[in-house]
Amino acid sequence: MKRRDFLKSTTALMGGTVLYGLATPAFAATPVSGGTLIWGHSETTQNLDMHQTGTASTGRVLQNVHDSIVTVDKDLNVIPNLAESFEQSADGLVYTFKLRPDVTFHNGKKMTSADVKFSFERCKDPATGAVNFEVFNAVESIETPDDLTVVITLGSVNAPFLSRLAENGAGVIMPEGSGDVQGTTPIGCGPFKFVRREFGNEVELERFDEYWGGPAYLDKVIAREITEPTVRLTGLRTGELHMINDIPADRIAEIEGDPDLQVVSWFPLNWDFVNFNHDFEPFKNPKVREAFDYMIDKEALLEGALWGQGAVTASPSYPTSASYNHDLKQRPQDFDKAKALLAEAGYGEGELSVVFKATTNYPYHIEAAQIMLEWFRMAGVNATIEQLTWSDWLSQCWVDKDFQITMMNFFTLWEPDFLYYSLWNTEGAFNYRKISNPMVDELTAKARVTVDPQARADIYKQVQTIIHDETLDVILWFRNGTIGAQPSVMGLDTIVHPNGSNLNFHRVWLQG
Amino acid sequence: MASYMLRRFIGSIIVMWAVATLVFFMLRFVPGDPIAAMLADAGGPDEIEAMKRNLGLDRSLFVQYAIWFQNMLHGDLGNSIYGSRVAVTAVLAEAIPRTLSLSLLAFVIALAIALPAGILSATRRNTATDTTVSLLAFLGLSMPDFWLAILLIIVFAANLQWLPAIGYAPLSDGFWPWFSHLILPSIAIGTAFSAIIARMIRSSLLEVLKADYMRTARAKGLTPWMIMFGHALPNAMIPVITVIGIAFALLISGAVVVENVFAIKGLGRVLIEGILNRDYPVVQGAVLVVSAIFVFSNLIVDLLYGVIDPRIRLN
Repeated sequence: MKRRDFLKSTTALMGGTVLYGLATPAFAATPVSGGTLIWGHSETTQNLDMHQTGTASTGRVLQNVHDSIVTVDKDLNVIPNLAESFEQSADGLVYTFKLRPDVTFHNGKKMTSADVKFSFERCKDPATGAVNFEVFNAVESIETPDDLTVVITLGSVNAPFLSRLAENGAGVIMPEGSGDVQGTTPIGCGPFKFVRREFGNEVELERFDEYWGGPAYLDKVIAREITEPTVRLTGLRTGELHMINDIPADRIAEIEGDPDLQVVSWFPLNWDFVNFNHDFEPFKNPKVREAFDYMIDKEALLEGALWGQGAVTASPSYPTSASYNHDLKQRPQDFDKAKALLAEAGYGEGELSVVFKATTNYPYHIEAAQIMLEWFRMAGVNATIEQLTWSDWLSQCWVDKDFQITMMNFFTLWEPDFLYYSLWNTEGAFNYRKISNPMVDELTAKARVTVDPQARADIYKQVQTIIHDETLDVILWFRNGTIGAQPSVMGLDTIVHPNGSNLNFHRVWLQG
Repeated sequence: MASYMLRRFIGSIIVMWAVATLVFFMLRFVPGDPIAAMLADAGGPDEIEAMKRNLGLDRSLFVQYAIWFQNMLHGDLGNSIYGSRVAVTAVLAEAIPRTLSLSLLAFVIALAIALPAGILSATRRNTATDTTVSLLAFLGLSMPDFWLAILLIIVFAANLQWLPAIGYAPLSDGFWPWFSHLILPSIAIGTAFSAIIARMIRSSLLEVLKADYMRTARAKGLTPWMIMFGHALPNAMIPVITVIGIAFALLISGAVVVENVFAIKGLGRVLIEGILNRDYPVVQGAVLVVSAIFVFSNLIVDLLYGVIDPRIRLN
């Protein structure tokens, strides 16, 4: 059975995060404490303030420093975390959290309701510049009747409110008054204390013995920031690094074939899609967008650009979430249909020219774009590629919306509001394609005030149908996450949290 | 001599100012946006505007320049935009010792190879030794440093496992950790440098060895060693030192590439990442330091002429 088939049959349809490729002792041996794990981190950390940072790179490290008020289980149900219980009033407007009494911050202070109030108000305050501030838009008051009780009252129903608190971005609890230092020396109540950072070089974390969930096994984690994949691989090979994240797809087979190393993969890490600028004249016509969809063979593209490290999908919803629309099927490659649609839209052979902007930050995007370019040409479209550095892509495509066709990936957002409202609502913060579809706007707004989970999931399924039928974007695939590690690194099956966040070192340990 | 030094010093400062100013404006005309790079996959247009205001990037270029220049005179190079609130001087203070360690070790290695090679080649002119040395020098000069770096990693780090392949250890960790991390990158950078110097020493020595005073020295009955080190080499060194000064540039540009291959966070990596992230203050700071190294290494070379050749000192 090929890995992709395995993924499709097992993971995409049935289970959540699946880890495979683990050496057997990882499960069998008894964990031991001690040791410093050296991790070759693929990206550099930026602003270390959990509220202000929005990048995956920083979140990946801060994961271990912070904890959120609630979290999710593997079926994506919201469950207690720093709050040992929570209640929602029947009208969906009042949330009452009972806090755990045994939570200590890294500065030695016990966590109380005042810290929760401080954290949420800080996130809500526009002056903070929090990425997830809008989670608290509907919040009218945060009351603290006693040290361990927090009562939050909303002015209007906000269905995704609780789920959004299950991630550190909005749900993180920081000690009261620590706002000023969070950006440089973050203080939380997670399993590891922040020790130091040498900007652009490394971050050092140290075990926090009073962690409420029990102390971690590792004494220290040192995250060496090595952005060059080949250098990371070299460090792993020579044994200078215990583990590395993000192995380039074309090198995975090589590491898997090395008996001295282990590869851990999970599904999904993120998903990719092809974007049309809806302000570019030809792409205002849904027929042209559909024609482009018919030009792309998604399976072949996944194989060609990603070496099969993922699974194709027509829905960007988290594969195990209730909102995943299983009825949607990707359009097959069909050049005749594509040409016919282009002709209907008034573009004969060779009459349409497009520039595909792809970023070198994701080398597989460049490869995918090159493959697609050939298909576009086969369908009679004049296509050229423009390769952009990450900052140029962000500046041109994300900020200035100056592109015709591009592609991007997003981390798998298991919370559908975050996903569909941000990306496809006209007002969405991540709507860089200038999409404006009244039906999508209406449905994504309606979902926000729909409390019944099933009804809400159904609304998002409708949204996906519109995205697909109108070809607002072309959803391609979910991509696997991969880690390469020395055989001595154990407990890697716990490194990905059910909410998709990684890399969590709480239950990771070193053998020998 | 004192007034000459003063003139050279002032000249050097002017050159550095010109470079810094040029870089300031050039960076801002390069397409790309530091805020976009920083906010990456998070943050809508409103946050981007707010961030620009916070960082003063919404002001006119000349106002930004005036503020930057004034702060620079006070020793404040600003804060990194990308790694919010980290002072550029702190980033540079971490990076400079690494690049200097790397460059100086590369320099020592280069001289250790070039001096004997050049002398051997010149004294055994047109022999098999000379041809071999010339061939090796040619090879060293033609080999890209990043390729040599990868080759060294494969052989000495990956296969033999004698030396580490990545990272840097400060001298405070002990001599061996420091040396073992730097030796491979230093060889990678120093090879081309040694080839240039060896060829220069050879041709310069050949000129000197033909001179009349060499025959006189031999006629006086001096030993070949005394002739070489007492008379020939000092006279041959003037052009060599000029080349060394200019070729020091090679070490720095080599460091930019090689630091990336060996994951050493020196000036080179600071520069590359700064440019990719459009982190203006960091790039400006790094360029300022690099230009200072250039200008002052040339100044030192000029002053060295006087030490080596008394005739220059007297004039």
